[in-house]
Order: sequence, then C-alpha cells, then structure tokens
Amino acid sequence: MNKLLILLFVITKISLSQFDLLNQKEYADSLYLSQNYFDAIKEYKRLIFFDKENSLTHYSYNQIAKCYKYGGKFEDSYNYFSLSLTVANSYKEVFDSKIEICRLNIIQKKIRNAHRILDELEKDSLFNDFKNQIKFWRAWTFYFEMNFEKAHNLFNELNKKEFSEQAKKLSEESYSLEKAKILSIILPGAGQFYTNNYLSGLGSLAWNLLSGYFTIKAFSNERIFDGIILSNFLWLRFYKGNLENAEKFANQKNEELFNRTLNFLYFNFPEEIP
Amino acid sequence: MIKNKLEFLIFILIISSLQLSAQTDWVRWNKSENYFFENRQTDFHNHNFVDLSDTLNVDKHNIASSLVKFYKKTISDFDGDNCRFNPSCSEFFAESFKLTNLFTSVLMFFDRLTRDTNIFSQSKYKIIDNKLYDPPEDYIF
Amino acid sequence: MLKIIFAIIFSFILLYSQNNSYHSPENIKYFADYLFCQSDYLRAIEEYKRLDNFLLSDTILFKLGQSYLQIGNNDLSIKYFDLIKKKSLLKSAAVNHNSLNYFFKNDPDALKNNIGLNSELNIEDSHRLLIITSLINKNIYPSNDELKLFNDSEKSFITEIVKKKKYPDYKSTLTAGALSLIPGLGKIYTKNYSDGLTSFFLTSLFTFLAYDNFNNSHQFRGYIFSFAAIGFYLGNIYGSVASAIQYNRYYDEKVITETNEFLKRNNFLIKKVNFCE
Repeated sequence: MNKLLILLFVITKISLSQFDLLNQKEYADSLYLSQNYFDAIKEYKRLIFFDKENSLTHYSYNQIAKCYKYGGKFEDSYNYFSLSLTVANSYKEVFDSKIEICRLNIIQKKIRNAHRILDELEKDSLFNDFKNQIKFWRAWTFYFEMNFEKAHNLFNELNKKEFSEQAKKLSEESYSLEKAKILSIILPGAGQFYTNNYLSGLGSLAWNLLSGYFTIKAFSNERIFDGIILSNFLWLRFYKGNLENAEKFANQKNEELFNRTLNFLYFNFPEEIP
Repeated sequence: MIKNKLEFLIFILIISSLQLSAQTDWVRWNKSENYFFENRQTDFHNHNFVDLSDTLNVDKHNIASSLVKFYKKTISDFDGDNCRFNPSCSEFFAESFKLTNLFTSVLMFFDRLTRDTNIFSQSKYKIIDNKLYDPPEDYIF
Repeated sequence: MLKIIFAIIFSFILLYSQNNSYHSPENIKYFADYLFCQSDYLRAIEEYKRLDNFLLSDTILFKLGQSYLQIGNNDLSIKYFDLIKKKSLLKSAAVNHNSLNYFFKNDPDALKNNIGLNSELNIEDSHRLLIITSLINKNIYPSNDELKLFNDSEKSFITEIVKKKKYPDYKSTLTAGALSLIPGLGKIYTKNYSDGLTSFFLTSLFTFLAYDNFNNSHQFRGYIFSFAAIGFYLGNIYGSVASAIQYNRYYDEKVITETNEFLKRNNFLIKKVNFCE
C-alpha cells in the first residue's frame, strides 16, 4: 500500500509539472500568434527558466529569435538562433536553426553568408532529406542578389509558380545599371531617357551641349586658361552629373519594382519569404 | 548539441553578448510592419545619393530660398552630388539668410565655400549619412 | 479504505501547494531576479510589479529602482528608492543612487536637497557626485577638505579640471578678427591651419584674376572676380571670428566630455550593489 502511495505521488508530481510546462508553452504561443512579440519573449524566457529538463529549450530559443526578427531586431534574432543551434537535439533541429540564420542573412542582404550556409548544408549528407528546402532558400538568395534569372529557374524547378513569375517579371522589367551608364557615356542624357526620366535627360543634354560649346569656343580662340576652367568646372561637372543621375534613376526604379514584388509575396505567402 | 570546445566557446560568447543585446528591450516595441525592409544593407551601390530636389522647408516668401530652389531645379539636379557637406552650400546659404540677413549670409556662404574647397580638413566634423555635418547655426554669434 | 482516500487527498493537497505554478508569487520573484541579472530590466520591472505590495522587500524595491535607473526613467527610479525604509541596510546605497538620478536629471539643487535630507547616513558617494556637479555646472571649486573624499587618481583629475576652468585656453575673437586682415591668419591663430591656407589661396587667386582681367580690359570678368575676391576676403574675417567662438565652445564641451568619461569609468563615483553572481 505504501509503495502504491509513493508511486501515485511521483506520477502526480511529474504530470503536474508537465502540465505547467505545456500550459506555459501554450500561453507563450498564444502571445506569439497574436503578434505580441515583446511579451511573448518574456513568456518563452519563463519557459526556459523553469524547464529543468531542457525539453523545450530549443523550441523556446527559436521562438524568441522569431519574435525579434518580426520586430526588426536582427542582431538579437541572430543571437537567439545561434543559441538554439547549440542546444539542438536532432539533425532536424540543427537544420531548422541553420536555415533561420540563412534567412536572416538573406533579409539583411548578406548574400555571401547566405550562400556559404546553404553550401555547407548541401555538402552535408545528413541533410539530404532537405534538398528542396535548401534549393528554395537558394532561390531567395539569388532573388535578393538581384540575380532574377537564376531565382526564376530555381523556383520553376520547385514548382513555385507565383515566386517564379515574380522573379521573371523582375528579370524582364529591371533596368540594367551598366546599360544606363554606357548610354550616358555615349550621349549625355540617354541613360535618363532609358529609365523614362525624359525631363532630366533633356536637361543633362542641354547643359552638356552648352558647356561643351563654350569650352570648344574658348580653346579655338586660344583662351587656354578659360578653356581649362570651363572644361573642369562646367563641362566635366555636368558630364559626371549625367552619369550619376543615370545610375541613380535606374537604382530607384529597380528598388521600387523589387519592393513591390516582395510586398506582394509577403502578403500572399508570409511564411515563405526570408 | 554542443559538439566541441569551439562551439562551447561560441555558446559562452553568445550568452555574454545577450547582456548587451538586452538593451534592445529597455523600451517596449511592437511588430515591425515590413521587417524585411529594416536594416537592409543596400547592395545596389556604395554611393549615397542625396535627393537634391525639394529638401528645403522654408517660408515661401523668402527670396533666397526661392533662388536656391530655382538653382536646384535648373543646375544642381544636373551636376551631380558635389558637396561634401550636409546641408549643401546652397541650402546653407538659404538657411543662414533665414537666420540672419543678406549681408551676413553672403559672408557665411563665402566662408563655407572656403571650407568646401579645403579637402584636408575632415576630422573636426561629425559624419552623418556619409556627409560632413556643418549647419549654419554653428557660425552665428 | 478511508485511510487510503485521506492519504490520496492529502498527497494532492501537498503536491498542489508544493508544485507551484510558474506564476505563483515565489516563482514570479525568482524569474524576475533572473531577468534582472540578464539586464532585461523592463521585463524584470513588469514581473516585480506583478507581486503584491506587501511582498516588495527592500531588496526588490532596490532592484526596481536600479532597473528604472538603467532604462533611463529617473522619476520612477527615485520613487522606488525613496520607498526603502531608513532603517534598511540598503538605504545609504538607495540615497546614493537617487543622487545619481538627480545628476542625470541635471538637477544639482535636488541632489543637494537629497543629501541634506539624509545627512545622518553614510552617503559619501553622493557628496562626491555633488562636488563634481557643482564644479562643472556652477564653477564652484572644491575646498581642500572636500578633495579628501577622493582617492589620488580622482584628485589629480579634478585638479586638472579645476585648472582648465580657472585658466581656460580661450582664443580672443578680437585678435582673430584683427589677424584675419591678412587672409587666413585669423584661422591659423584658431588652429584651423588648412582652412587658413585655403582662405589665403582663394583670396589671392581671385584678386590676381580680377587684376589680370582689368589689365586686359575684360571689365565684366574683372568685376565678377573682384566680387569673388571681396567675398572671400570678408568671409575670411567673419569666419575667423566665428572660428574663435567655436574654438572656445569646443574647449568647454571637451571639459564636460572628459568629466563625463571620467564619471562613466568610475561608475559615476557610486559604489555598485551587485545582486547577481
């Protein structure tokens, strides 16, 4: 009889503590799902503090890291994903943590880091079951690297129709910085015309023609000093400005396009963007 | 799974860095609407393009600011980013005219051109957004 | 049978009371202490405030005061430090930390008042902070007796600051203006060497260009370059006077910056109370 009582005592103690742990996890998750990230972090920290067996530590660290990420606090997010990596208990958990770190690198446009992590995961045979996921985030890395052609191809391979369409759209509609610059080198203002900034193009062309005319006139009248001053402080200035503007407008247009497609994908597939 | 001593060392470093990162949470914060636009390093170019148009927020009847706006639209928008300073020389002139009078603002403008020509002196200025911060308020007595 | 039932009921009662939920007052306190030691002060504050008032010991009140001080909410920090009873062992430290709060609020009179109200306690740290504040804000130089409160390295720093305050290395605006009659010399006097040389170069260049153009009967260009030369010359005089004023202002700011750095290095002269291992 005494043995039965002791057994009952032990079982009840264990189940009550598990009950508290699961209750706490549920509470923290509810705050996370309602996007109350600041308070969710506190409750996950509480879970870690009282979880003596560390059964939910990896999960809690991951969730805290995600809360920081959705709050735009990437450094803190990185720290907690790294922590979750060190307490991972299975290869799946290791993979999840590494992919999250990769996603953080993608958002922050740390492209080399992102590629490096994906290369490491690809080479490791332990993660052979996750090849598709690696490919998917590789495609995103190309996307943020502005290599839309490669991103489109990879998304296509994975049958991600919406993503590949957006990447194809970017690939077709983006302006080439090199082309804008070269056009402006050949004919001042042409780069701005290429990016549909016609007024700026005309202005650039007019200033370059005017300053060019005065410079050549000064040299042809053997006013060498005047010619040097005009070419340096007038013509060269407007020519340089024309090149800067061509690049600036191309960048601006590309950024607008990129942000628009990213927003579209975020609102339709929030879990599948970095 | 902490596999080796190196990972353990990294673990300890991260734990200690958490002390510093806790400073993020000394003020309550909310979800970031578009978190993927926060803190992004721009990969487009190293250049920091200054939007030269319409940066002035001055009285409409201020002649100097009107002149400066005209200068920006017809000349400054086409000759590129040439000023090392923020505010730019034309903005400096307009703002100093607002704060003082025509004569003083002209003197301040020529003094600013001298500093702009002097490419050696950089250390005494604060650097904000890749530009040397040099407001007209520092030169009014 | 009845014995078994009673035993089971008793066990449940015992277990329930022993196996506290994570949100019981005791566990809230443990968790809040953990957050405090992690420097997660705002969350620690939120946890401590969940406790009923009668559970707020002097240690918890002190931690609340310290947490608010760390996150920059000086008013609430003062409130919690003030709640600590006079008989408490932590009262002296609380008064010292409140002095720090008044320092951050830039309120030397309140700092002095705080010391006056608690003069019977051992609050040497507050006295030292008041001496530094009075020196920087009100130019009140410490007496020899007051300097005895500091150790040797602190004393030598304060002596240096007193010297800088009593005999500042200012530049005269009149001298700078007068010297700038020779273009660039006024700026060289205020240690803006490259600006001075540039000013001299530009004024000379445009003067030469004006002279040269007038000589060659290019009247219009002559007037343009003359206007530029006069502009750079007068601008150099204005700039020299402005740079002397700036020099003096930077000198004063440097004294304040050095003092702030000294205070940060020495934990603002307030002894730390460490609750964490």
